[in-house]
Amino acid sequence: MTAQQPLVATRDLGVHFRLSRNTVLKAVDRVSFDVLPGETFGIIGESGSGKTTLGRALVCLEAPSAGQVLHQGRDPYALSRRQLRQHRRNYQVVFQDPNAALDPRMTILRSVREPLDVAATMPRAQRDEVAMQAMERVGLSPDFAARYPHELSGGQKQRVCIARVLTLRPSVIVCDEAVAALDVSIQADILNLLADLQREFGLTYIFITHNLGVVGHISDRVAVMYLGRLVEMGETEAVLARPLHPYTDALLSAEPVALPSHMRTSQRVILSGELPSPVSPPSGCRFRTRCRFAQDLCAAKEPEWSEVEPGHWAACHFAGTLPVTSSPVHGVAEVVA
Amino acid sequence: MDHAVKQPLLEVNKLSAFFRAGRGEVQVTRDVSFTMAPGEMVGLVGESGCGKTVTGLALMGLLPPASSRLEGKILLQGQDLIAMPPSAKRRLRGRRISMIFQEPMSALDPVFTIGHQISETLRAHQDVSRAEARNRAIEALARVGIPEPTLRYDAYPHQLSGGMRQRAMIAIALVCEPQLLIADEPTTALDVTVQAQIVDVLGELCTRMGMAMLFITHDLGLVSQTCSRLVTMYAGEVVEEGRVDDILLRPRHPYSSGLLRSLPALTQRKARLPAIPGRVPVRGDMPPGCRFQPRCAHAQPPCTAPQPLRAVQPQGEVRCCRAEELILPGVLPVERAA
Amino acid sequence: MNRRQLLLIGSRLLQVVPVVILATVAIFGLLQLVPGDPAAVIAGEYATAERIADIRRMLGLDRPVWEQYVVWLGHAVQGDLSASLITGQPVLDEVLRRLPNTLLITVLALVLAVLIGVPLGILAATRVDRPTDRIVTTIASLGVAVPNFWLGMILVGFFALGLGWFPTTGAASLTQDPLRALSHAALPALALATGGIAEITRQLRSALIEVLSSQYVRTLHAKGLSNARILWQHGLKNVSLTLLTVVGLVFNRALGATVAIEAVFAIPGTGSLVVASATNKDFPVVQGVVFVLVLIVIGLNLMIDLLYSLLDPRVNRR
Repeated sequence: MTAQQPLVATRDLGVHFRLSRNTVLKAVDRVSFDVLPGETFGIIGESGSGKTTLGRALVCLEAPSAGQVLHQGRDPYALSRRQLRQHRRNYQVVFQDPNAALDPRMTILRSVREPLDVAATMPRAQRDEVAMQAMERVGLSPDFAARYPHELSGGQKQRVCIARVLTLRPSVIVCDEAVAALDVSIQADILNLLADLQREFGLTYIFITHNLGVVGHISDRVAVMYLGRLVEMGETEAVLARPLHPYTDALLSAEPVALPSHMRTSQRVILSGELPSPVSPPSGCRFRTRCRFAQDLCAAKEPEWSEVEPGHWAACHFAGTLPVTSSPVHGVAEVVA
Repeated sequence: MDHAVKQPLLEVNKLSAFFRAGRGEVQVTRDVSFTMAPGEMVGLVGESGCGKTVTGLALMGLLPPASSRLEGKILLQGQDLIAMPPSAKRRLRGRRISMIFQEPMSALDPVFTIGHQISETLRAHQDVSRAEARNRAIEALARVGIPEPTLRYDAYPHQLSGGMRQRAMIAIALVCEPQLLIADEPTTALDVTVQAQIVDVLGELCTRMGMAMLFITHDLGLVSQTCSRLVTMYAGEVVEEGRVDDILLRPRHPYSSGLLRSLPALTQRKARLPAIPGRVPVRGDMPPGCRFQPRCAHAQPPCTAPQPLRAVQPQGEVRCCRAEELILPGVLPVERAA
Repeated sequence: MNRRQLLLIGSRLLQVVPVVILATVAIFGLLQLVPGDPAAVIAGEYATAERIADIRRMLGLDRPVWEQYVVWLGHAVQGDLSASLITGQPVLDEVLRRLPNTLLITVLALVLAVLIGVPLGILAATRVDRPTDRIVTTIASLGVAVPNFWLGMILVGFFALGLGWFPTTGAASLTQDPLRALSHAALPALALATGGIAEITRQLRSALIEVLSSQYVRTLHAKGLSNARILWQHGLKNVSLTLLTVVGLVFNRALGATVAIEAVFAIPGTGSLVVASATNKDFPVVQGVVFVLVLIVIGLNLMIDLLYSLLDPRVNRR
């Protein structure tokens, strides 16, 4: 695994926004991770965690204020403007709201073809053909081509967005809450489609979501974000079964899982309070204000981002020594398996 | 536990909602029937457009009278709410039935303090002095877990976080200690950790006040955590009703089963999710008989005949003619649920 | 008054400076395009070219335009609005003498617009898509379209010349003879008000419809409040911001429209003063009027901003 060149990597990445003269919002702060070719890398976080900004930075929609984003070991910002434009086609995003992503006055075919029109590397007839192929691949029959977005359901619109991204044959797709707005039965459909496409085209996914069920289902590895920082990262099974960080533990515990009462074993951890302002995060460990294990050390010193177990990273002074509860999400997986 | 013994608090009987559309009407819900015992927590579950919110608003009498029409009966302790004059119904709202909504920000008036919005509810229904209303509003804020309630009384909605706003909304709804709370997706707009707090507060207050709650949601996980009984809606109809624990393990309707199976948390990692093929039929173009039949893997010719909601053994109701013969998977595979 | 509001006043007052400069520069520039020469007017019909040139030099009209402007501005900031080139009278006196006549019809127009527009807007919004609403909105769209000077002439023809209820032209002092002043002001104010009535009705209607169909109003119904309470307490407080904005707009427009209306009704106000001075290129007078009117408009807008922060708690937040 170490031999593989990461397709996307961040090195102490920071994305900062200056809100006024004296306040800087560090939406993403000193984040480092590698995404390997062909894997699905999940990023979990609540609103305000910086996960969307991170996703945008990964595909060069947001320039780093500190540190680096590396694509196949190279800094895309070192490329010339033309090369960067070429290069970007490899790194695509699918957003949560397909309504915002589709122009209501464009036919579906035109929407799907649009990235090719912008790239302008092939003749019109060929572009239509590629667009039709992409539509077929995501399960939209040819008679959708002449329709408009308002005639489609939410799930179908999200398929259009996926087809549109596929036309460019990217190697990485960032899915930012791509299934969050969909009903469960449709969501399952789209998740299956994404899995099929990954197999077929060898795609690499970076899956950004607040939904643990979704991220647990499709990711190989997950990272957990809190107030702009990564607090935990590792193989999905390991993170869900043996969370090292108390925040991950609380997230897992808060996730409502459909289980009959006699099968609920774990004690629920209910976090007190809400996310502090990301503009002035707490000193030391950012989670300490809501952590039930917090001690003086946590306020005084920032915890190191360290590999507690092989491949399983966490930023907590007491990682691995805390009596975290076994998560209900994992509980189900065990029961079902 | 046995709700058949008590007189039902709420009895919804063949409730249909119609919306005016152009010169005609579209039927949004059809023959919705269920009962709730005093203090009972019932989940009303379905996907978007299934009519669950419309049903909630109908119970409250909040559907616009000019553009909608109701048929059937809504009995609150035997009193028919549909037949009741509007002014009498208004006096029930906020006092005996309350409702909370999905978006706490847009559900609160931005130009009045939350304290004012609580005490005006109290003063609309009870003869209390300004000072007493204020005190009781502060108590209500404390009860829903808002820190420093005396200070928060004078806060405006925009000065509170999302979770605190929803708590304030709950304080408004519960200040007159209603018998029934209708909670329409109260946590959908909130983060999971805050959602857990709100669900906790709601559950605790219901128990403490002996209040019944109709929890409208798309999230089966939340229902399993909060409710004892479950009503599933599909395309404007109730398709199944029963105890949560029973339905999670042994759903009787293929749609309930499909919903449960498509939850990603319950499937083995990376395995194919059992999605429900096709899409929900549109209003005004409903398939004959069972509305789920075009998407149902178990459909047979009799399914195109009208399907009544009927009782099944040992308890519960299902709108499926094959309920007795089918053995459907719930959250666990069939062989493990036995 | 809190610190934020003081800051707001301070920053607004600073904004007055560029606005006044821009407005007076624009007028100054435009005046250069108007045909006519004040020196020729003063010199009389049979004056020699030499005599006219002398007068020009005396008045400083031979100097570059920008220099004339700078000299004027230098005096204006010291409170001296110079004197009329034609009459030699101090401009400030003349403006202050005529201003009450203009303000009377403008303010009266505003009061009429609010008193008629607000009830109509509420009436329409609470009866959406019913006959009352349709009638009100139709009349309101007509009111926006009708030019007020034309309406003024119609009003004079009907109520003054025809019925003889009101005087046709002129003005009277409000302090000396209030009744006569009001009867003189009634028709011009009504002509000025129509556009405002229509504007207030339309804007209030749409704002109130939006508020009444909002989710928080649904909450108010869910709490069991009466329709009357929802409309009069929550509805009106929420649309008060829109109303305030429209009132400011209507006042500004009405003040501008006095130029035409004062001509129709022969009212000795600032509007007619501007028209007369502009034709004679008597720029100190035109400048003086514009200067004073701009100050009035800015003062009113400042008041509206302050009222905003009192009415809407969200304005005070950054």
